[in-house]
Amino acid sequence: MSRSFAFRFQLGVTLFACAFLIVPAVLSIVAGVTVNYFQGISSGLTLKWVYEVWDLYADTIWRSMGIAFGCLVFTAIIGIPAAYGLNRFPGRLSRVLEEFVSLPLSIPGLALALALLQLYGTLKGFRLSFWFILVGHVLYTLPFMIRSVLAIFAAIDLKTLEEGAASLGASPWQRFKDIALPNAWPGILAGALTVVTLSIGEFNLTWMLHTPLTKTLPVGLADSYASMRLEIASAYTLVFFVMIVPLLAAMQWASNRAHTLGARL
Amino acid sequence: MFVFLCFIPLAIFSLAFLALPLVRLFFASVDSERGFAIYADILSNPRYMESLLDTILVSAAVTVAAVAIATTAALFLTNYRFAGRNLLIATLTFPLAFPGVVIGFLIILLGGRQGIVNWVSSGLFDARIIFAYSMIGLFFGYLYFSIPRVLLTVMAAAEKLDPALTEAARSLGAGPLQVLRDVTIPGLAPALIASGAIAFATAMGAFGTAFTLATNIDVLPMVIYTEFTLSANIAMACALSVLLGLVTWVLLLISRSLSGTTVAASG
Amino acid sequence: MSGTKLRLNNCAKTFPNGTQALLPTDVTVEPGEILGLLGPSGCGKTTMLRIMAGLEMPNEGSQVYFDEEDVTHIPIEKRSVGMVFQSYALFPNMSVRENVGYGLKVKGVPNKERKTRVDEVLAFCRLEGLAERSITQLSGGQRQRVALARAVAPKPRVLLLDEPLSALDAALRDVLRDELAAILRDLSMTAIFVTHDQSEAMAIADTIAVMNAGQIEQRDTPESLYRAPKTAFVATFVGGANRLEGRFNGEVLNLPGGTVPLSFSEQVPEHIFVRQEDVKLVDEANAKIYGTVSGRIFLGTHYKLTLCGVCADPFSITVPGTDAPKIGARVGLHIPQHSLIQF
Repeated sequence: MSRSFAFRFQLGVTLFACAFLIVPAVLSIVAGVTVNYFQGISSGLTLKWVYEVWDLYADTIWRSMGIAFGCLVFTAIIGIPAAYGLNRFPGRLSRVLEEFVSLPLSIPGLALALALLQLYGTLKGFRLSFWFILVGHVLYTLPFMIRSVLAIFAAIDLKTLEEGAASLGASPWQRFKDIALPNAWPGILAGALTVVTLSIGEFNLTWMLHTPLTKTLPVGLADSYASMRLEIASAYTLVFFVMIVPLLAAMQWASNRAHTLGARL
Repeated sequence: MFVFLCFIPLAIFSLAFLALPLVRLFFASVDSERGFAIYADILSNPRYMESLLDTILVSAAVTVAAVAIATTAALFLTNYRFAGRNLLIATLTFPLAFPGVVIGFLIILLGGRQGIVNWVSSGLFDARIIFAYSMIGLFFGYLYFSIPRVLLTVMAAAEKLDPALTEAARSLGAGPLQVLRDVTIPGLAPALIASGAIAFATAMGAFGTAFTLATNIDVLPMVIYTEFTLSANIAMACALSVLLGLVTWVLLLISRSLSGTTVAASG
Repeated sequence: MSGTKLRLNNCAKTFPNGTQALLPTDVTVEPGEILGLLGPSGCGKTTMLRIMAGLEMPNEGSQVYFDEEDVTHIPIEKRSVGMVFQSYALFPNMSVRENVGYGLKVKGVPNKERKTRVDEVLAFCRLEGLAERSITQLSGGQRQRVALARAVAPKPRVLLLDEPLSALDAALRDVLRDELAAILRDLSMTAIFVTHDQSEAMAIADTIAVMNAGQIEQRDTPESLYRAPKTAFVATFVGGANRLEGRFNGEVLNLPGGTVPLSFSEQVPEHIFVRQEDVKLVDEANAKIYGTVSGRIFLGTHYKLTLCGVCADPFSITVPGTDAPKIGARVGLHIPQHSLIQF
C-alpha cells in the first residue's frame, strides 16, 4: 500500500467521522432558528423559538446551573481532601477505595438511580427535593474530581514537597494548606470544569430521580423531543449547545494545561 | 490526625449514597415471593435473554466500529500536522459530554421521517431511507458518543508512542501496513483495550438514546425501565439492574488488568 | 566546635517486603563534624540518612540520639533537622524569600525577625537580589543554594543532605562542590551528607563512612581511607587499585609478569593492592616485572594504560606527562614496596 493511499484513506475516514458528527448538530442549530424547518431556510431566520424555549423551560436551565454549581461545591469538599489522603497512603487499601468510589462510572446510571430510590424513596422530603438529584450528580462526578486532583499531586511530586515542608516543622494541616492546595490548582480547575460540564449534561440518573417540580435541562429536552414541535426542540437543543460547548472547550484546555504544567515542574 | 479527617466526608458520602443503596438494591431484588430464584428466572426467560443478547450485540458492534474509526482518525491526526487540524479535533470531540437524549434527537434529524438522509434519498433516488427508530439508529447513536471518547484516549496514547520505534521498523524495510500491524497497534494495545471496554460498558448501560428513539428497541436498560415504571415489577427491575451492573463492572475490571490504564471518559 | 552530637545506636531497618536496607549499626557524629556516607546504590546510605531525619522509623531496639535526647520516636516535624533533598523539593507556589522563610513562618517567628534572618541567610549563600524571584526562574546551581538556605534558616540542630550535587550537570558540579564544602565549613554545624561520588565525599567531608550492603565497611578521614583501606571493597571503591594475587616464596611475591618484593610484620596478608599512580615505568633492563600494553586512553593530565600479562586480572597504571608507550609495547614496571596496600 503506497503511502499516499494510506494518507487519503485515513483522511477520508476522518472527514467522514467529522461529517457524521457535525451534520446533525448543524441541522439542529439551523432548525432552532428557522421559521419553518420543513420549508427550510427560505422561510426565514428567527429567534422566536428561542424565546419560546426560554418561556417554557427557563426554570430547567436555572436548575441545571444551580445543581452543577452545587455539585462542584460538594465534589470539592469531599474529593479534594480525599485525594490528599489517597496520595499520602498509596497502598492497596487506597486503590480499593478509589475503585469503589469509581463504581458509578462502571455501573449503569439506571441501576444507581434504582438503588437510591429503593433506599431513600420513602423519605418524601429528600426524595422530592433537588437534593436527591444533586446526590446522584455528585455520585457520578466525584471520581473525576478525585482523579484529576490525584493526577496533579503525582505530577508535582507532592510526596517530596511534603517531606521538605515536614523537615521544616510544618504540621499536616499546614502542609495541606501551604503546599498541597496552592500547587494543585491546575488539577483542581480541570476537575471543576469536568464536574460542571458532566453535571449539566447528566440524564440517565436524573431521569429516574426527577419529579415534575425538579426538572433539569436534559430532562426538559427529553420532554420537548416527545411533545414539542421540531423547531422548539431544536431551539432548546441550541441553548444546550451554547451552554455546554464552551464549557467542554474550557475543560479540555484546563486538562491539557494541568498535564503540561505538572510535567514542567 | 488531620489526614484521617480528610477521609471523613468521602466515607460518609460513599456509605450513605453508594454502599448502602447498592446493598438495598440487592436485597430489593430478592424481596419477592421468588426470592433468590429470581435470578434463575431471568436466565430462563426468553424475552430477557433476547434483550441481553441484542444489547451485547449492538454494544459489541459499536465498540468495534468506534475503535476502528477513532483509531484511524487518531493516528491520522497525530502523524500529520496541517492547517485546520485543531478544527478537526474540536469537531470530533465536541459531543463528549452530550447526554443520550440529545444524541437520539440528532439521530432523528439525520435518519428519521423528516431526516436529512430520507430527504436526500427521496429527492435523488425516490427511495425512503429511515433508520432512526430501529437498532440501526441506536447503533449510530451509540457510535456518535463513543467516537469522541475513544479518539481522545487513543490520541493521548499515540502521542506518547516513541517515534523511534516506527523509524526503526521502517529502516529495516517495513511498509506502512506492517508498521501498523507490528509496531503501532501493539504499542496502542492498552489504550485500545481500555477505551474499547469503556465504550462497550457505556453502550451496555446507555439509556437516554434508546429512550428518545423509543418504539421497537428492547435493549436491557429499556427493559429495566419498563419493568420498573410500567409494570411496577420492582424486584425484577432491581435484579436486572444488579445483573447488568455486575456484568459491566467485571468487564471493566478485566480490561483494566489487561491494559493497566484508565481512560479519558470525559477529558 | 558548636553543634549537636548525633548518635545512632544499634540502628537497623528492615522494610515491609523483607529487604534489609540497614544492618545494626552504631555511628557517632561529633558536634560540628561533617560526615559523608559513601557507597553504591542500595548500600543503605540513604536509609541511614532518613532514619537520622525521622522520615523512616528504624527497627525495634534501634535508637537515635541528638546530644542526650532520645529522638528515635520523634517525627521529623518536631526533630528540628535541616534537610536538603536530591531534587531540592522547593515549593513552586512560593518565591525564594517565601521558601527560605517557610521554616520560620511555621514556627510563628514574627515578620520583621523573619525578614532579617532570611536576608542574612540569603547573603550567606550568595543569593542576594534573588529574594523575590519565583523558583521556576532559577538555574540549577541557584536552586541548590536556595534549598540549602531554606534548610539552614531555622537554625536546625543537624543538617542532612541527600546527594546534594547529583541533580547538577558535571561542569557545574565541580564548581558547586567546592562552594558547598566552604559553606558547610563556615556554618560549623553537624552535617551528614549522602553521595555515591568519591571525589565529592573527599572534598567535603571531615570523615567518610564507606558503606556496602547495609553496613559500614570503614569510617575514616579521606586520607586514611585512601592510603590505608581496611577491606577489599574500600580499596577498590575509593580510588582505583590493582589487586596482586600470587605465591609468596619468603622474599618476593611471584606474579605472572615477574616478582614484587614484599615484607610484612606478622602473617601473610590476605589482600595486596597497589594504586594505579604508584606503579612506575622503568627501563626493561632494570625491571623485575613486565607487562604488555593492551589499552591506552588519554585523559588530559595523564595517560591510563591497561596492561596484560602482569597478573591474572587486568592491570591499570596512570602515566603522567605528555607521552606513554603505545599499544603492543612491552614495558618494565617498578612497584615500590612502601606503596603496597596490605591487609
